[in-house]
Amino acid sequence: MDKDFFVREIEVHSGMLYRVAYTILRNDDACKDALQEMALKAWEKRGALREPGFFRTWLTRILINTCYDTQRKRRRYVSIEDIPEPQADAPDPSLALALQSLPEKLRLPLVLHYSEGLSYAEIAGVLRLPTATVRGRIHRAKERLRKELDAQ
Amino acid sequence: MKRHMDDLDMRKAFVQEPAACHAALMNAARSVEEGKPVKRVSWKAVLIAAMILIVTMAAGVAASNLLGWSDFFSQYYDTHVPETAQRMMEAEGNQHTYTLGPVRFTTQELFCDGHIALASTAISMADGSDALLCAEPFDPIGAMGENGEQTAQRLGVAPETTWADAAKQLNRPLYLVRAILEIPAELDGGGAMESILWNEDGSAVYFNMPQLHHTATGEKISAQLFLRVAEFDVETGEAKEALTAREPLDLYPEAPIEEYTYEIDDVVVDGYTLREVKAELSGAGLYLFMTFVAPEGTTLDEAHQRGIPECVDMDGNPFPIGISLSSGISSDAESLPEVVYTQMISVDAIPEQMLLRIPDTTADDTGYRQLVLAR
Repeated sequence: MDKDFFVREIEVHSGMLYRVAYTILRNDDACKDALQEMALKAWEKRGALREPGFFRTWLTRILINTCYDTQRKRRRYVSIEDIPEPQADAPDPSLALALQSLPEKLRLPLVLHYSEGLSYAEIAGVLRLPTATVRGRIHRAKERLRKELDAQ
Repeated sequence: MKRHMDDLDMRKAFVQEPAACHAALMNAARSVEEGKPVKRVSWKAVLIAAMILIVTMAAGVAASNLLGWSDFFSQYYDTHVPETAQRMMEAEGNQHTYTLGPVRFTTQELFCDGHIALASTAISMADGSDALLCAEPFDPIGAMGENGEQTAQRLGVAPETTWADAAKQLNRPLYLVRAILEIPAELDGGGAMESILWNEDGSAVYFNMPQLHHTATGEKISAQLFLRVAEFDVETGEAKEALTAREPLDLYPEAPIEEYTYEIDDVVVDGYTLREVKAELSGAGLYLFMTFVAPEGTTLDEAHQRGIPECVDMDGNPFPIGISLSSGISSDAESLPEVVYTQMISVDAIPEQMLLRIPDTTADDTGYRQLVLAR
């Protein structure tokens, strides 16, 4: 993988990377840190990627791990006053609010599938979970999201 | 107004990527330098970052009890340490005491079954003083769990107070501590978990679970217990020079209690041929090894991305997750095209029957092909 390919692909996927990072970190400053760190780590590990076609899922996995590292390094306890408005400027604020209400282990696979179009098998690979578990979590996430939206 | 899932555009739950995030990402990407080709990183090495976690747990505990692995697993992961493993962990002879600077370390529980090793180490001040002990000084004391909140309450500080700030507020010394099992490189599986909890008396318990390489066998593993102590300077906000020690600590892998290989006819799914499902019952739980032969030219990443097969009970429900807390590929690139998927479940006996679900892109809406495994 050369640098041109790397930079070009990161540019192409930058929106997806931000959405995945935000799904975990829910804070733009933290996302900025994680995205920077991810880019550097991915370049360092580029020798592990044999098939350029898998770049997106490979990068997503590195990003998710980096987000968890970032989460550990930053404050994890957020007081009520500090909880940011969940993307109040999002095109669909009620959907944003409902999505934020899901626990992360349901929210993340849901976003990976419905927002970013990853297959169940790809998500299982990215999250290191059995495919059946991914399927179950997405099913539960959809149920809870539906309830949240109906309640609004 | 009811909204239908099919009408939802999940991307509308997000704002457009902020300019600052985009700039940070692209600046980092453009800053990389091309040079010598990077040596291909082994799959195990890529996973190290993924598998090292530092978490804070929820655990209520009586004043006289020291926290242990049972507290750790039952509160946070909704799984349990099988009784056999618990007895083995607490066996006489597993307790070793070391003093490093002002801090005393005592191993409480030790266990190894050839696949994982577990250690819990009690940490306290050797002179009985009331210094604070933590792993990360800038972590909030109350982060993630009841144990942290109870600890904050005992100290009389708000849960969001960091250890560093608490040390300053309470005018007490703060020591950064760590107690890690180091496995010989050739036996190291490349992943480990570590965590810390606090007892009511202010002492800490450090938990560590390294994974062993799938070829690790033998009667004894000559490991080391890596100990680290650094006093934290609350005025400068930095740790002072650390004291470290590596104490020899032999581990004796427990032999499997029972092994069984389920009989199957070759099953081919998406070009992957299932050759064998082997169950190995350890004191720690049940390991399931599912061996496939992948299509020629398949890489480990591709084998992983196709999805991990899973064994569930005959009602289709997942088994309780095993205490290794992981599933995935346990074989190396050198073994290709053979790929061994491993799952650990927390059961006390090898099931007479269970279902094996194999990811299948040609399947109906379930996404998998299901087989019955029977003894």
